[in-house]
Amino acid sequence: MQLKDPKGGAIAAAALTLLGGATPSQAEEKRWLFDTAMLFYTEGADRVYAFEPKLAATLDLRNGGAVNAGFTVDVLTGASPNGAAPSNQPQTFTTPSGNSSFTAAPGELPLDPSFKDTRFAGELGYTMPFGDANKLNVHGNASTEYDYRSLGGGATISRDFNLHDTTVSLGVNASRDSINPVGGAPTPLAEKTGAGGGPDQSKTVLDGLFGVTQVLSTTSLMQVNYSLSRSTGYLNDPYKVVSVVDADGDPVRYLFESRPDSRLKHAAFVQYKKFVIDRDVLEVSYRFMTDDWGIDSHTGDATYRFNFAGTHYLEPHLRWYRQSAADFYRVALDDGEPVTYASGDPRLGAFDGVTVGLKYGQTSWGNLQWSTRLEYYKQIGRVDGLPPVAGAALDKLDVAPDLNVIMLTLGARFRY
Amino acid sequence: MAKILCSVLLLLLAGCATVQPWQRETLARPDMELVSDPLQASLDDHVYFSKEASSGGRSFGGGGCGCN
Repeated sequence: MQLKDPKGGAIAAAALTLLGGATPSQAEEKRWLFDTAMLFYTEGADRVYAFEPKLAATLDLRNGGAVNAGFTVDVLTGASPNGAAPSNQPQTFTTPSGNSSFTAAPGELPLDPSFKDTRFAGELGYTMPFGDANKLNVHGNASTEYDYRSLGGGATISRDFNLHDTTVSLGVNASRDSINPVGGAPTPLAEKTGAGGGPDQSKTVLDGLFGVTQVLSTTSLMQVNYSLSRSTGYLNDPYKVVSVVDADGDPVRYLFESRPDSRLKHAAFVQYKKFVIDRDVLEVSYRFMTDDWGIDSHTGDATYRFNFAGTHYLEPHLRWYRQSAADFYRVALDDGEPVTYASGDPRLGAFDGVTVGLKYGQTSWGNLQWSTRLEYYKQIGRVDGLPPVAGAALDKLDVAPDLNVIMLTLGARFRY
Repeated sequence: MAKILCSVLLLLLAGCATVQPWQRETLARPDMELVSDPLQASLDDHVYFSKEASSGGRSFGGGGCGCN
């Protein structure tokens, strides 16, 4: 379970350095930066609980370059939706291993309680300047969990113009993942009677990113990015099923989900940052994403950092998200309905997401900076993908329930 | 979308006065970095990548994740 660490951070750091900001470590001759964070994540009773500590270290080199390394552990337990629709009857499923079973109560979204995972991920990066206005960053990363391994790497080159007021960045990244599902990878749209039973699978992800960072004034700057991502190979979730139901919405059988074997995503991202009232920092961003699975999404994000007392700050955060459903997202299928692709994974359905949070931090506590942030994230489901015949019966059930998440993050950073 | 992006870029480049290197004290503040807390951003990206169908934008689109 990994999203690659934000190499955009590397782009941003390169950009700002090019824009003329001397790093504090250079100023104080402290060349090491250690950064740690811990996330506690809970979806409430009977759902996913996660604990994720991270450690990163950066060494500033005397030639203006830097070396960085990072390590992440991710521990997850709890229950996750298995893709089946709720029903007026109790529903019993075998777990992915085929060795045990669980039962969902009438009217409840079926949750697979056997979800348990520990992931380890590491990354290395090297940034070097060349010429008087260019930087090159190369990075590699690897992660492993018991049913999934990933190996990736890439490079970003950036160049500044206009007295360092404009920085243009171009990056590429590639990763190769191997998927070794518990019980074997199932055949898409095969009836689930036990474990999947098929051979291991793989997928390849290629990413490209083009970005422009522009200083707008002595107190504001802006970034505009365009990125695309192409995934090919095994893109199914091997543990997800989709219900086949009769005209009353009662389950007849369950099929393993089937997704296309390629996906192309485009994203446009705009970020604006402004130092206001000679004390605080306002940051707003917007992202539009669209893909060839039929999903469009909008993400708006805003923070306001009150630097209210010298080295202390409070930072409220608001995020809003909306996505449309994938073309092949289905709450359930009518019996006999012909399909090529179908998934009941709620993450491919239509929903809105709202996050509100508050961060408190201290920028100088001896040699240490620290912060803590508490956030509440709510997903509000919008019903989509009902089958033509049984749709009316299923619509009486809560087929797109809300999801509530509490996240607590602790962070600390010091220079040496 | 390409047209929108180009329009935004042109507005960006056309609408801003040159800021000289000695005028960048505020822009060099740590809290004015585009990503001022990279680990927090990385954790956020991981959570939303796991729970939503979107990723990328600020950085690469990601992958390498079972993400149940």
